[in-house]
Amino acid sequence: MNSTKRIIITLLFLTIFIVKNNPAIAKENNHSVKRLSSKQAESFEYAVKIAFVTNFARYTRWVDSSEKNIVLYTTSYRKLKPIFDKQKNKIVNGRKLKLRALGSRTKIPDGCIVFITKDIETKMVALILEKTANRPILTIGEGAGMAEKGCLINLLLIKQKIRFEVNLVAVKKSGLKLSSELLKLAKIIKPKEDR
Amino acid sequence: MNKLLFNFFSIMFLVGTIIGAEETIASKKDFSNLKLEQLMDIEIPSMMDSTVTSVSKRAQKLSKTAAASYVITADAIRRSGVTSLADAFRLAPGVTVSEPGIYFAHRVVSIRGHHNFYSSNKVLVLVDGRSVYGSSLATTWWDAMDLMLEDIERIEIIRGPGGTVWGANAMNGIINIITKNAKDTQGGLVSVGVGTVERSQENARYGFKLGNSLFMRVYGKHFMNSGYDEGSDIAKDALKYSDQLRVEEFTGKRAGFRIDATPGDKNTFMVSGDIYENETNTKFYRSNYTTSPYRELVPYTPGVNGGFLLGKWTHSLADDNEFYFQAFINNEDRDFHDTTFNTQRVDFEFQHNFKLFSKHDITWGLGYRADWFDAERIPELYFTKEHTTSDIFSAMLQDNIELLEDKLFLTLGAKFQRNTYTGNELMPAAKLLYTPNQKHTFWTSASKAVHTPSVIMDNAIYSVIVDKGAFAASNSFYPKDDLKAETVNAYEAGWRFEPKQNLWFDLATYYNKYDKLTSYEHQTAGWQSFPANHYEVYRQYDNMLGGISYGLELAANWRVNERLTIGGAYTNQHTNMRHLNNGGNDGPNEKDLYERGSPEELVSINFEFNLPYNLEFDVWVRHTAQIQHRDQKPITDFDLRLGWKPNKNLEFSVAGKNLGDKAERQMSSIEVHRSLFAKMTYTF
Repeated sequence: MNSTKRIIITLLFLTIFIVKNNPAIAKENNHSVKRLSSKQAESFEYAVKIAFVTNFARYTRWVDSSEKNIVLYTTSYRKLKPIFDKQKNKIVNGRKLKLRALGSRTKIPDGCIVFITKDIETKMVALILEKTANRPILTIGEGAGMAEKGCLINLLLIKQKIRFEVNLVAVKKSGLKLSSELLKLAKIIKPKEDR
Repeated sequence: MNKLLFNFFSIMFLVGTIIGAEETIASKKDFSNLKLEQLMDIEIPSMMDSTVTSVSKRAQKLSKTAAASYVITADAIRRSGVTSLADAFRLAPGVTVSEPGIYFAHRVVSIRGHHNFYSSNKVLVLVDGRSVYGSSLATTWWDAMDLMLEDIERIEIIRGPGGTVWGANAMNGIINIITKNAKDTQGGLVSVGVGTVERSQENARYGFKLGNSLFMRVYGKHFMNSGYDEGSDIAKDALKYSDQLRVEEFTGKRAGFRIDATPGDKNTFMVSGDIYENETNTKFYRSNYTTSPYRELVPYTPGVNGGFLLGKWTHSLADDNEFYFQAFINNEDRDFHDTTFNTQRVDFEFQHNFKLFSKHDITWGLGYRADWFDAERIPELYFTKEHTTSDIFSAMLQDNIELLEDKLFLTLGAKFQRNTYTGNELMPAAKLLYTPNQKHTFWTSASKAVHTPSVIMDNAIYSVIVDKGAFAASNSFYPKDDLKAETVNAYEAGWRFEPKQNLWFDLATYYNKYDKLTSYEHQTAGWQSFPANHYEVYRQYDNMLGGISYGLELAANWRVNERLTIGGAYTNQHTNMRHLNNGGNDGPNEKDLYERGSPEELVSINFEFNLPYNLEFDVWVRHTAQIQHRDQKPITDFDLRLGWKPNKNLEFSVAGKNLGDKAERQMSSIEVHRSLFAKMTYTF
């Protein structure tokens, strides 16, 4: 038996040994790992996006801030809930951020945040935006064209980094005020029909 | 040896025990305390997996490409322990890399067979989108490709034709080397290495910020590789097979820079440049047509020096609407026998891609390239034209149609090229991609690609002197100025399977039909008076070979856990050629070279162990089936590497190459040397 064969056999044994002795096979994901699965990459992306949304809430001057909690309605509750729960700091100017599901029949109260994720049908998007238009609700979209459609803020993924646009006309109509710090970092969108 | 192995076993067992005891480290995913500015700086990992740009010239997810693609990451290069770029390609399936040693600097890299002993002429090689394909021999000169390995971001290897996107010469595959953005190489890096064959290597790089989102790096590299003793087997072999050159020492230096700028979200600019100089210290047979033995072994130090400058501007008009303009120039002087080739190239490229009616992804582009070639005539390499100018104009159009949302894609495209040698060439392709779910991807494609003749085939008479005792004889190869382009029609299919997030398989099969391949034909003989009376046996290049090649490639990667990753690649390839003209009285040699010049099987398995105390242990086992054409027996060999990172700035590594039993390797005509290389890298 030559040394190459020996080393192959050794490696086989070693591999079996490692596999057997380490039952926690890739249960946890690691950011440094080059090949992230789609699910891991997606949850990473949403973790960052939720942090963005939390920050947006902090930089908004709300019309009425007497409520104890501030509610974040989302169209992808199931997907976002576990990620949302991992975020430790959920305090928005003394109020606590809560996540709730948004369905087609949900009544959306004033003074809340609505996060419309990209996997939602166009019809549903239109329905939500119709309900929330001209009301003090911070609507946040995700993906090209959402600001033009009427979302106050829209999150975009550009060159693997998150950027955001603000529809100033919609913001004005909503009665909410966004701080200059936030606007400084945003790309400002002015829809055509209102120009 | 046995004792050594016993020790090795024991160490491995110990290592295994430690690994088993360690726990996996869970990572955190809480960004809630970060400010907006900080959040905007976070890079979102791409969905699915690695990005590939070589298939369609735009960033795509590996799993969404209808082509046999493989990505070698920066980490894989580091952990393979290779000291030269070409060696890293062995990690990928379908790639045959020749051993160094014939003409040390000259490596041959081929994809899907066609492993010509002297050239890698059917593979297109790009560095950051810049073609490094040389016009002189229509090949890539790997000796001038000693890039700084630490600055390589990834290597994309695409098997199969890429003519529709990349144009002529992307016949059997594309190797696209992508270097890191200057922003990702900030700070300093110094690495020094010493070894038994690769005697020394020194690299230095420094990256800094020039302004707001404007980054630059400068780097320099020097290396020295040793050759072989005159009496050694390898020296004898070198003589046997090349009869021209053998190497005693190979040294090189390289320096360069890269600047990246992203002013705003709309524009990115990249400028890079390099100068290099290599020298081989060797001996060669200088022809002498008058006195026996008609050739004389003389010391010879051929050099290569050159440089390039590349600029690229990308502008985004809107989401999914982007164009780029790229231009580069390069210049190279290369000693070849007793002459020097001077090649210059200017290349412009424009490409625009945008979305149309939401289901169509349109890419179109224009390109122009001019090549200048100058060489002084010598009797052994007599250019009928001393200056050659050739150019290529190209236009391409491709439509990627989403037939079923996120599931079924059809890509139709074609590239038109007009070149000096063969006139108009059209390279169409159709590809179909089906992803029923996140675990499976199926693809199939039909495409055509061409390979255009080299300057030498077009206008140089190449002669090799043979001693016949009483008189000198020469084997001469005559050019043909109306050679046609070699063509391939390729039919491919593949399946990518990702059963778990830490495990994937990639299977690809192909059937290539070749036509008009060049070979040496029309053998004639007679007395020749130039430069002195000698008997000349001459043959002329002609498009006389056709045939098929078929094969199967499998790649797999299993990240067992944080402690162990196993990668594998298996290749099975076959070629059958036939002569298109029975009247031709020579050519079996070429036919044989095509059919039996490549190993029919290749295996590569690499194990990457991450050990406690920041230790890394890597084992790489490779098998190359026999190469009948040059009596090379099968080789099974392995490399070992041990790396240690005592802190985040320092890394030590020791790598042993080709450590298999010598007895096995000696049987091959080209002996592969065992070698050891130790390296230290310091970053600051």
